[in-house]
Amino acid sequence: MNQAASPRLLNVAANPHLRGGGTLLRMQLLWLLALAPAAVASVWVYGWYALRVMTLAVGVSVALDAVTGRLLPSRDETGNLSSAVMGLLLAMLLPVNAPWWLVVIGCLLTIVIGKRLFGGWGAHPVHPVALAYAMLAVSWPARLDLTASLAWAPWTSTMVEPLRLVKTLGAEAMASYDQLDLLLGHQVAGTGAGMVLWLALGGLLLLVTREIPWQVPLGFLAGVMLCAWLLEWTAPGRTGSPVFQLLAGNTMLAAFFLAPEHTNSPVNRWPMLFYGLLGGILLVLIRAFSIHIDGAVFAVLLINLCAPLLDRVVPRVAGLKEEDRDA
Amino acid sequence: MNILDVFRTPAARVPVPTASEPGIRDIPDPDEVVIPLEFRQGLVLPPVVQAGDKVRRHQVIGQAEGGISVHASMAGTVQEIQRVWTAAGDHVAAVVIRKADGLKSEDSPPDPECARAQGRATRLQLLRAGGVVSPWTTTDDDPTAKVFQHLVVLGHDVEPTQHVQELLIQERTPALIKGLRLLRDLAPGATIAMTVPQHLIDWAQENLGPELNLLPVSEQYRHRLDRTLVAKLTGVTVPGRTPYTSRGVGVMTAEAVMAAHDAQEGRPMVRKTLTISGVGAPRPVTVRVPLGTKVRDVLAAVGLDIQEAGRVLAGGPMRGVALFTDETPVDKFQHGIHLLPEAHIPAEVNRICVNCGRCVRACPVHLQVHLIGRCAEFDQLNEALNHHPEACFECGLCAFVCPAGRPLVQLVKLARMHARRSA
Repeated sequence: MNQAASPRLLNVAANPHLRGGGTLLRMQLLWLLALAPAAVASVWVYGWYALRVMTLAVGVSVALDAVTGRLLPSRDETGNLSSAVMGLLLAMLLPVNAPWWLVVIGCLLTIVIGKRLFGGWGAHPVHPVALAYAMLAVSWPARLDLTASLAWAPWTSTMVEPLRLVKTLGAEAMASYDQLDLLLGHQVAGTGAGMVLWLALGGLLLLVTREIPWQVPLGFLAGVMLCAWLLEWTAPGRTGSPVFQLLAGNTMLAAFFLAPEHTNSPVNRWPMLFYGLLGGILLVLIRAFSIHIDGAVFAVLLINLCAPLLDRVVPRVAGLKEEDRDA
Repeated sequence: MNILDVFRTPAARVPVPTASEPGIRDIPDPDEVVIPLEFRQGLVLPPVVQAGDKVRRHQVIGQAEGGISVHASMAGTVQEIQRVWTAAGDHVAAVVIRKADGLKSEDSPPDPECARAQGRATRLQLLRAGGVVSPWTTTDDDPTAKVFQHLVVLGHDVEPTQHVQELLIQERTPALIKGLRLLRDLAPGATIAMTVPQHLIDWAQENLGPELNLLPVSEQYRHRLDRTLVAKLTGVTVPGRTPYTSRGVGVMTAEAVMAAHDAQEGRPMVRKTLTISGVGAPRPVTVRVPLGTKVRDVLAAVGLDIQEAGRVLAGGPMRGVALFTDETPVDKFQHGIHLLPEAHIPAEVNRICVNCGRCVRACPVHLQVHLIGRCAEFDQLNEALNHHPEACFECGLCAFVCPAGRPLVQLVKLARMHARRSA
């Protein structure tokens, strides 16, 4: 051996020695970017009211996340901005005139109850935003009345939440809405949830960058269309047409941003598709047959709970013998 | 970007580096070689030389019953027999040969005796004596009893940085063709298939004969995994690190097939072709060195210095073994040396798993990688075993696509070690 040269000790680790997956921060920045068109459109339509709700929700969420991160140590760092995305999603669901305390309580429910208590991002059993909104909707139904929240708005199209009108008057109420208005966000809806076109564009960004798998959002939308079409056929007049279901309420937000949340959606291909389909079907069923006007968050909560079960349908591990597989 | 890509499987695109330097450089003998007496993992041969002996190239220095041999890769004096760490992590006896004045390293000429040899048993004997790792090299009493339904020749390199097989099959085509004929004699009735890089498929169809089943492989790492390709070609999926032979499939690299041909002419395998890539090398260089040359000497011969590298990898960046010293000898199993720049060393952050499922969708054997990783992380190793970590062959794609930077391969390995211990 060449004793003269003292060997330099080298850095070692397990393979692979290349990483291409980016970071969690980059992932969440992409989500924020995907939500940006809807946020901008919301400010365009509602003005400072929308900006107030969104900045308040994002600010309080991040602050709460930082504080509770100290109190309940976990490896979910505030720096990955998951709380900012959750805050923004919550703001988009809330009405534009939501009082500050409602926003703060919503953030508290999202970040502290929905996320941190379960161990942070990656560990929560249901989507924290869907959970928080459902709790708010049950606790302060009057405060979340979207129709009342926009009594001051200047535009002239029908000033009643589309799904509420359809629920009370039946399917013929659809005629009073212009589909283009619904698409462009001129409808009574939450702060950002009504920006249908812009949410769909953002969702498309997530799809094209492969940030979310296509099975969940497309399955969700297909489930909505399928179920609405079946209802139109079997129980005419009960609820809106398939296209109306896509354009009204929180359908787009749920399909592209709530249902595909990584932590609460399945990871295998068939389960993901089934999860999406189930969500869409549940959404229309809740809209048609329950006392709730828009069932988006409830549908999301229900499929979130099904996700671990659905994910038990796993592909066959290649090369294992028959007797190993059942173990 | 093709819009249909959205609907295709994972975005696991391992970067493909710049084209390699054309041709193979022959590196002169170093001052000293260290030849581990390990034929393949778990098969260590007793030495047949001792310190002070003078050896010539091709001389047998370690031999087991059944004729399996390891040879001196250059002429010189045996300095000592000492234990070394191989790249694969085995601590085995090795023969240190120092260049000596007056001894010239010359390849022995083809042995006419061997060339005249007939019969399957004789040919197998020559193969074992020639130091070629082949499906027939076992310590079994009767290797001739081994019959394979399928033989697969890997004419491509799995790692994106390596160009060994594709350069060799172009440089030594006649030897490859003779080697393939030999395989046909050794395994009568078996199907023989060969993988070829996409860009060489026309060339291969023209030169390698129509009766060979050729499979073009793309540049993408995830399409180059040997176990997946073997499954595709033969219909037999061999999981984890189970030897191919245990499922009746024989797999050899093109280089080994050429060495098998050389062995039939009485010239044992004493050289290894390697691609050197990474920091300092503007493009990968493929070299041929005597077996047992230390990584340091290989790098010096192509003008590279490990001082610039953050990590020295035997193999490539996806499956390579990080060496702890540059004195590790070159063996028959590593097809490259990759110098990872300091700045590219992945930060082992081990953030929380957010269940995005990219590892699951990237896994070529369909493991629930995220679950195995979490179970292993939180000490629930028995639970991890339900997800069959033993099927993993460590391609590294799961950790490559992980946005949380989790050491998934390591966690799966941990679970697998536990499986072996509890078995």
